Amino acid sequence: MWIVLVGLALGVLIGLAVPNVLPASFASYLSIALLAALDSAFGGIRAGLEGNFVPLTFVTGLVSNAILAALLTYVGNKMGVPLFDAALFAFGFRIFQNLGAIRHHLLDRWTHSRVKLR
Amino acid sequence: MPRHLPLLFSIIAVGLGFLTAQQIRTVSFINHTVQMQEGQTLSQLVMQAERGNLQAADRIRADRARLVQLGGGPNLARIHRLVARVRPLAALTPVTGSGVQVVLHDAAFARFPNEPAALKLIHDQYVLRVVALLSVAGARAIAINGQRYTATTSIYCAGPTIRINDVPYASPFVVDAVGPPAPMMRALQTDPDILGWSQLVYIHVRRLHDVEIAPYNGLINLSLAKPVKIGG
Repeated sequence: MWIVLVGLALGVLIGLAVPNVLPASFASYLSIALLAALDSAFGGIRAGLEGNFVPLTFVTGLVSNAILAALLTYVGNKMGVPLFDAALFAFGFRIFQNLGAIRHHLLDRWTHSRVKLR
Repeated sequence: MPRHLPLLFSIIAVGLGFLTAQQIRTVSFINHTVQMQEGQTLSQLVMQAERGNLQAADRIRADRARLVQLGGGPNLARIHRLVARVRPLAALTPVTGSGVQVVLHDAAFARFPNEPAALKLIHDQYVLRVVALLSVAGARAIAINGQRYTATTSIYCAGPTIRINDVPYASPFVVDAVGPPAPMMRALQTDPDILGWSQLVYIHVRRLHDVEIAPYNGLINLSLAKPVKIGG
């Protein structure tokens, strides 16, 4: 777990240290890719808590979701279909669902641990 | 868990962290740029408006010069003289001279037992009566609380205030008039209505050597009264 956090911090530092920023036209695609990645990350945490975490599924899901979300948004923009909004809604919805499930699992664990202590 | 997985996860985390930081920086950069663009657009608009104003001022100056050239001579001078004569009559110029000042304000307490509260207040009819008496006595300019009395002036009660030229005023009401002081004083001091109302509210008249009355500065709208062509 700690290696992931260290990696994240390192990535943020590199991102801040790099003198250039990405072109402004990339911003919307990158934002939706990040949202997809966030969704996968929370999905992974949820799967881990439920005990059915498969590393390969997680990694492929994260990468492919991010790339596909950005790609679909790009294609949508080219076609005049606001797929950005659709992806925003879908990923946002899933993130909150996953967060709710994670909270439930953590609460369950906590109550079980207290029962065991008695 | 295979051995290479932590490495893979950390690589992904580095990538995600990098992209997040880049995204935040890009968005802040865009916001900055948009603000700059807005500022530039606004300054361009201001400059454009200023240029337009200058051009309009130039046009007005040129038109005025052309008008003087075209209609110049005795005709224009006659019109100027006419306007100069009519403006004071239309209450559009400040005037000064000897006159009187009438101050009316609500009574602080009831003068008589069981007196209705309404009798303690200055009403529009009091102001109207004062204005009428001053006009009859030869006033040449009248103002109530600085509002010049004109051909279209209205004076009426609206709740606790009196609207003069549609501007609400509360007590006290100060009526200034330029005109012959002696007849105006006499008219006010001998009028039975004023004498009666003086028993209820405060009405004070005084002679002034130098009254200055401001011009009418409201909107002039005579659209309903079309001038009649003389001899037409």
